[in-house]
Amino acid sequence: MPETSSSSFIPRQGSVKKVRKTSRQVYIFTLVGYVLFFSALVSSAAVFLYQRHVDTKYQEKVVQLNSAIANFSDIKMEEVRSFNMRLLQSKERIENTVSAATLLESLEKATAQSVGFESFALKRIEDEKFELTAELNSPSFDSALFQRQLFEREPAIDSVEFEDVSLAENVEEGVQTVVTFRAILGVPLENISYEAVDQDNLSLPNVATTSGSTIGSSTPIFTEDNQQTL
Amino acid sequence: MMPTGLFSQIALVALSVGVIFMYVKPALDEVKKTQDAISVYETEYTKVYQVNEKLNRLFNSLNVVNLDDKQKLLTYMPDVVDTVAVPRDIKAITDKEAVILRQIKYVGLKQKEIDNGYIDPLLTSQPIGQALPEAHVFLLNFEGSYGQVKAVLRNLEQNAYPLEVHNLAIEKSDGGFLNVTMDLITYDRITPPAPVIETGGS
Repeated sequence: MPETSSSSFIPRQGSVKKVRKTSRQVYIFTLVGYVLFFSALVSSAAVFLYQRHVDTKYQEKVVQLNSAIANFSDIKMEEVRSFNMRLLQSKERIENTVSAATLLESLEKATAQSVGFESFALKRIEDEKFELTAELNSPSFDSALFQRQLFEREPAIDSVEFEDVSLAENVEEGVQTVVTFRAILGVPLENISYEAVDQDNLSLPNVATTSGSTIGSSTPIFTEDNQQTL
Repeated sequence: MMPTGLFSQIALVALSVGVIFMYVKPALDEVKKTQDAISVYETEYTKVYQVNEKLNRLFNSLNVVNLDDKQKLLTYMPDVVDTVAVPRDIKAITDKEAVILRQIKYVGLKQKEIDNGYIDPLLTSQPIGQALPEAHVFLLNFEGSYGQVKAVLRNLEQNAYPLEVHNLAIEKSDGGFLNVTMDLITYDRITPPAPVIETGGS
């Protein structure tokens, strides 16, 4: 009876098959080397191109700036500067314009009837104030005191000083007592109003005419008989 | 075909590092410098552009001012004080009030009390007082009544250009008249030095 192969407990020896294992080893160093190399190549190319781009942009900016500088007009600048300077200086002078006639009117209002002016001097201290010096006379010390009070009450006057007060007798018209004194007054410019007039109504080519409307409301400080009436 | 030998790989790495340090890094540094320069140029361009814009705007606004106003301004603050025309105008004022004219004389320049500073030509934020105009002094001496003196003063202060009374002396003279002496000051424009415009460059 023939033995079947399936009945044998002895394993049958099959053909020996040699399995050849192929090794695909990837070395880290090699990989890093490749990556580094290609990175260097790519970055070099990128940097080269970017540098060219940046250089081009730089040239454009230089041209743009030079063009803007070339567009600057010296003539326009000089004209604007000239006009601006003229305007500012004119504005500055207008802001410091004061009326000497108005100042005289303020003095008229602040001068007692019995007090007379012998002389009057006015000095402008830059754009700050007027310093007034007046030689005055009055029939008595009481009048002089009253006059000082009037000056002190006058809003335009901010400092009042009386000096060289003396008493004399005028014998020309009988025996008459005369008190003479010097008044030194400080008047800030901002206390003196100035009212401009319409230049179109002026009759002279470059000069103004008087308005005349505000004059005459007070009595003049200088009169023929040297007497002031309030 | 990539080299696979150890020596070749080391050479590859060395070459790569060399390229990075010898070319890429210096090139990047150069790019950074160029970018900084571009930034400076952009900033300067913006400044110059703004100046040009402002100048054009101011110039246009200047052109809007009508000729009559410009002429008045020029009369008020001339480039040069006419030392003949001013006494003529003063004489016209005194003649108008029929005072007895004694003297009109050009004294000269008033001593200036200004700093060396000037107003920025484009900006108005600078103090105005730093650029006072040049002051010219004229002496006026006449005789008249008190009313005439006041009228003359009114006329002087309403002139088309400033005739400021800086020193005034009034004394009684014969015949009830007043002898008046005054310093009148008028101005002309000082031209400040042109500003230096600095621009960035590389």
